[in-house]
Amino acid sequence: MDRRHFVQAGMSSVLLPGAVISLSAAASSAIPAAQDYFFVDDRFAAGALQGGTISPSLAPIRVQADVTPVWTGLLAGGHIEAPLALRGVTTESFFFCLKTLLGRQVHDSQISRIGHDLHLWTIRTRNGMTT
Amino acid sequence: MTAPLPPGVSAEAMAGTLEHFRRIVGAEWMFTGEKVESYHDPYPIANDDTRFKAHAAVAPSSVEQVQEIVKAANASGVPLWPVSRGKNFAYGGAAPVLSGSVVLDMSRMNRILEVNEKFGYALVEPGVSYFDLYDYIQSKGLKLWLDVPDPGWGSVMGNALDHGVGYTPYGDHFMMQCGLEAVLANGEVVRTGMGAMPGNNTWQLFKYGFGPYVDGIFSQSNFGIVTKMGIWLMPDPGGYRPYMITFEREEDIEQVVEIVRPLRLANVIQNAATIRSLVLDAAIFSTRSQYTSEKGPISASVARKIMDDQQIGMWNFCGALYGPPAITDALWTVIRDSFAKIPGAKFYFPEDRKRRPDTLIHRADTMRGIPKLTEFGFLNWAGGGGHIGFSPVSPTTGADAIKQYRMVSSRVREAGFDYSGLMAIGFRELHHVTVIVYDKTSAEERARLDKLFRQLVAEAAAEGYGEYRTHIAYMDAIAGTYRWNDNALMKMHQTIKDALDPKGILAPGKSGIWPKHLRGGGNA
Repeated sequence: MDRRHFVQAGMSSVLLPGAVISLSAAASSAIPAAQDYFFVDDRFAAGALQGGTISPSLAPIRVQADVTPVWTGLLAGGHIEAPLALRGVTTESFFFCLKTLLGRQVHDSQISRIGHDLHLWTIRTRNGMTT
Repeated sequence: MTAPLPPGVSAEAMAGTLEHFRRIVGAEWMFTGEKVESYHDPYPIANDDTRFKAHAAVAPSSVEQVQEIVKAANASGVPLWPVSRGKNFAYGGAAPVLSGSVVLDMSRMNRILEVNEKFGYALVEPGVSYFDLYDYIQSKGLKLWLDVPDPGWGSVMGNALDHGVGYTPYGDHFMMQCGLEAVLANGEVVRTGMGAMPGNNTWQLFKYGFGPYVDGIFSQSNFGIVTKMGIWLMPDPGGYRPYMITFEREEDIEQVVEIVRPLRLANVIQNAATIRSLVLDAAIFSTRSQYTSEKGPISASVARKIMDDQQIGMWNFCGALYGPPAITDALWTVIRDSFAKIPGAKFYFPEDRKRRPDTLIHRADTMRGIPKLTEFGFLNWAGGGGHIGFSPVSPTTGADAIKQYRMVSSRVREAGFDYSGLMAIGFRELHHVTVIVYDKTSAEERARLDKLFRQLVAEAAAEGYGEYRTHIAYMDAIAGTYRWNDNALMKMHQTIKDALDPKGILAPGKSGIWPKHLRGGGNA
């Protein structure tokens, strides 16, 4: 299986039915000018989204714990020129893995626990993701 | 917090050495102050904040820069802690055993020097990750498969040198290593095996060369800084069939392992398969709170609920068949008939799995060498996100497996944690990897875990079980259990250390090996 097929397979297992925005669409369409992305772990945050506790200005990309499809299919493709502003309401491992993958690109980051399984976080990078 | 200094190094000497390093690599690649935080252990256990803290980090881009750094460190006595990519997170990440060490971050040396399809090998530098090598092979359309550990961001070289394992037939990574280049503490560069002969073209084909086979002394050690390494890659097998067999009862592990041994020895089970526990598999894609709000280890009724919901067992055997269908069909018949003797065993191929996400669908990628980070999901099981691995080795016998399981799981549960583990199947031995997930923000929980871990090490050693790998906090403790004949092996390690690194500048304390001036304990 090559990377493209792997990413497609990964997305099919990560993205949930009724997703507000599909990750595959985000990856293939024009990148938003602000280079913002907002990730939501639908297993835990759906109630907060529906109840208005979390009111994102961006359409959320719905994920589960695994950061792999987001990284290989969206962020590591080498086509994002502006710095990233990433936000999320996810499990901690999603944040940790994403921050670790971005490595020295990380300009600043913040995380706070907002529930037993959920964390609210931001990561900003110094540069874009170009190769 | 003030950056710690290593024993015997003044602030002035450290400042002068760092300035020297800065001139070697450029200011951009010298890290001090807040920038050192990324080199800290992300899952600390010790409640003493002064332990395992680097003073600074330096990132060279070439072998020549490594040589210059080593020579400067030798002149000042500043200890270096080399890391390939520093992603060995359950074992301390990039953090040094000895506080005040300067991390030698090799991640900029990330060239894939050669991938040879004809002979099936790669020659890589320390900074090459599994993601990097996988992408390279895919982009070139090479008919080669990687063998990957669970985290795809780690170093191909670093994982092999730390005796890491993956899940294909090439799962023992150091067994697949062939030829390396290392910078010694005096700055000299050596090549091992056939690489020692000028003009030779079998460096990555024949491991042993002529004379003593020394590659092993650069693994889990502090005798040199490896700068190049050959790794064998599996040819595309021409067919692939992953499978999972689930077992209902905890005690089934005894019979499962008895069945595994002859099949593995005969290569009917072709890969480094795993027998994974209920909670480990459940935790990849779900959290504890989705099933229970009870405190303490999960009850039998909760376990049953998880099994039914996720179509998994108390134990889950994940394996794969490699080769053309004529081969895999024949092997599968033997495997299926062997395990069918166990009451309640259920057999699955990926097409049988309906739930998404799913353990077998996920493991099917890993067992064919696709790098991922999916396994990190288990960190969320109980909230708090810390984890550590306790990894004793035992013979592949049912009696040892059930004894191991009962010893470890009872202690883990007594300490208030869920048992989450796997038995990774080598050719003749089991790595019983128990993953203890804990709340890294809780000082009380970390203290409880530390007490538990030391108890596990001692009790395992009393029964003759030794760990194959460990977190930086326990290297001394585990090295101390390999003490046959008045610690003869450690004395030999120390003799080699003193000969190759008389000033003790390379990774003091790695695997319990301390330089002469720091021996005697209490230095970490």
